[in-house]
Amino acid sequence: MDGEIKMTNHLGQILLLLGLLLFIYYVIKIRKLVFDRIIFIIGAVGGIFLVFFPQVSTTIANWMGIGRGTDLVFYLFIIVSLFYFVSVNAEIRNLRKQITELNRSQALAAPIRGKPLNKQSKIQS
Amino acid sequence: MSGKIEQPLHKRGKPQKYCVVVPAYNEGTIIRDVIKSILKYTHSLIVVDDGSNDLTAQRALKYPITVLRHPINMGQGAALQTGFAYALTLPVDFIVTFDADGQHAADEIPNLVAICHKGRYDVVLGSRFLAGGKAVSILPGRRLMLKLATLFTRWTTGLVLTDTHNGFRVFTKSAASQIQICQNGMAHASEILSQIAQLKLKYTEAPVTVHYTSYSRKKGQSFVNAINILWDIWTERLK
Repeated sequence: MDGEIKMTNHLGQILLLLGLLLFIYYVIKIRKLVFDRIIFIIGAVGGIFLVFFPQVSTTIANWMGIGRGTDLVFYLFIIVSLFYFVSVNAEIRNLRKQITELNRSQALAAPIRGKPLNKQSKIQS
Repeated sequence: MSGKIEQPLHKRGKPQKYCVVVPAYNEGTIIRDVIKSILKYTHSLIVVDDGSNDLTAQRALKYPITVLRHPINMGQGAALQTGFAYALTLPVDFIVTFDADGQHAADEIPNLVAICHKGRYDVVLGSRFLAGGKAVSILPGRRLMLKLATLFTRWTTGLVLTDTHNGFRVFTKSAASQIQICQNGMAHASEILSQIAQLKLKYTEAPVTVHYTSYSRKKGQSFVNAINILWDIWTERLK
């Protein structure tokens, strides 16, 4: 009996660890916006499902060696939050790149020539 | 960027044509002195005003130089890349980068350019810690910090340097055209070095003097900002 509990405990840990490793691999290798969105949709649908059938989370949790369904949902929440954090970060970085480009093209389109004698004038392009 | 570009630069009979790029953010109090000192050595000076909200641009425009203005503040890396993009359209052989806070000595510019020219280097990096270089009134904490940065650079890029975060550099035009600075913030210094390593550019260090003043210390990087730089470098690798 003791051994069995230990084994199921390991199962839960292994699955969560695999989830995290998969997350790291995903972030570094195959991230795409559309996959992000699919993952969010799955998460949302799964969440709604669990609202209606809360006992299901406990069943799955017990099967994985986790005591309460709430705990399982909490662990999943952490993993999903990581996804969200990284994807938002990537989006921000993207936006910043675009703003930089816009900023740069503005600056390059209107170089200003300073002059000690005459008034300032823009270089004709 | 088509049409007319700057006037011929070398009225002083300098053998190599170069222009100086100075990224500046809120340097209104000191920019005039820096410009005046540089104008003794070149007529081609580009100040990139990185969205300053003081009189940096207005004061810079009192001199016969070119000012590029970022509408909003993007960081020193972004300003340097903008300066490069403009400098590449000029009839020059070398592009010098120089800090706007007055910590570099403009009289060393011709020397660094000459080293780049004679040694046929792609890049010359100023070093305050090389024999012959000086770090005047440097604080011990800053010295330690910069030493750690050189170790970090050796570890990540394999480049063996004595000073990795010096804004005083000389690039040939072709080197400058190959380098793409994507790090808008201060991490661009590390980024430039890693690109030098990746592109296998021929580089050397040259001794320069860095004067620490209360002004430059205030404008310079704080200790905790090193964490920001590391963060920028590592997160850039995430997709």
